Amino acid sequence: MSGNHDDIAARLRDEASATAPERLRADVMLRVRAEPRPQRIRPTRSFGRSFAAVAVAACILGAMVFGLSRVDFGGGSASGGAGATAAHEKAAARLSGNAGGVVAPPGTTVTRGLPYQPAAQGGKAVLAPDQAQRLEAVPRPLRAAILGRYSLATPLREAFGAIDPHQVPNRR
Amino acid sequence: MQDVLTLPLPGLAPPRAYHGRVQNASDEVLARRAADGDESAFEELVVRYQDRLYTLALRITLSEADAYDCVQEGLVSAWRGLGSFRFNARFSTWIYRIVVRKAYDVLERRGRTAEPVDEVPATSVDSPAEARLDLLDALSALEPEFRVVAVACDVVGMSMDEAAIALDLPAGTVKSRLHRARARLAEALRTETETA
Repeated sequence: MSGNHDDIAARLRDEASATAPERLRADVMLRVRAEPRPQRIRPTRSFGRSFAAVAVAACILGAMVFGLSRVDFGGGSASGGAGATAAHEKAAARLSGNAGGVVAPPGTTVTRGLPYQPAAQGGKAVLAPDQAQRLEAVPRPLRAAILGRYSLATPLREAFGAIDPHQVPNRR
Repeated sequence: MQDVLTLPLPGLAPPRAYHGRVQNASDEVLARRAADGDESAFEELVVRYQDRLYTLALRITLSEADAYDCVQEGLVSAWRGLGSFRFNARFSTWIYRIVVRKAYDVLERRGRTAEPVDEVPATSVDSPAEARLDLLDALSALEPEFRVVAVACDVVGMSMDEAAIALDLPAGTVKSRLHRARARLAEALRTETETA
């Protein structure tokens, strides 16, 4: 039965094919040339590519915001964010009361986000015990970076003064 | 005066000629170029497919004039629709499907108006004339749904999957119809031989 079917298929392939009339191509191309050229519709951008572009843009924006938040513009009011203000005000209130404070290690200034007290305490801020412990718990390289940045901020501030973005820079 | 009229006009472009870059390109490459408006690429596709499309339309409609119209209309429709062709299917399947639809439209129109078909199907290959006519008669006597599957798979050379897409049928249906079409053809030829 299968051999019979194969024979039928072979005969159909050999005998039932036809040749198109010669004028068919010319007639088709005549009509095609009279038609307007097709406007190819480009495929729309895929969801994955759009999502990746949005994610990259969000990462860049986040990195920029994070970097700006880490910049020390000098002056307690300028560097402290809105969220940090309340905590720093509490810390300042504790400092003014001198209740159980400890002196920070030499070379350490922790005036970021706090009211600037250069002369009253000789450039050294008083830390609450829990804050001192938190600072000691920071890994050594990170602590060195923090201390280095803070030690650099004080001479810059003394040389150029605090930068207030709402006023003209008061350069000496 | 007559010599002057036979001179070629300077403003006319020379006739288009095929070049190797077009002839060696694949169907999909040519289709992309045609979708961008390249008429020579589309002409190469016409040359490649006109015989198979004409055979398909002729064996479905059983009329040379209708087959000619189906192929011509189908190819012009393809040119118009190339801009929206997504290239996630094969160009051959797409163009077969267009022409098959045109042929089905002819059958439907003929069924409504009961147009007579009195044309003899054309053949191009030399074989014993009586046997050829027997086979073509048997093929023409099949119902259209079986005939079209036999023509698509056995005459044009489509695979089962390609025929399923081109004919808009499930692959299982194509397989069963092809089997039954071949069985009916074998039976018809055997009966013809016994009668003779």
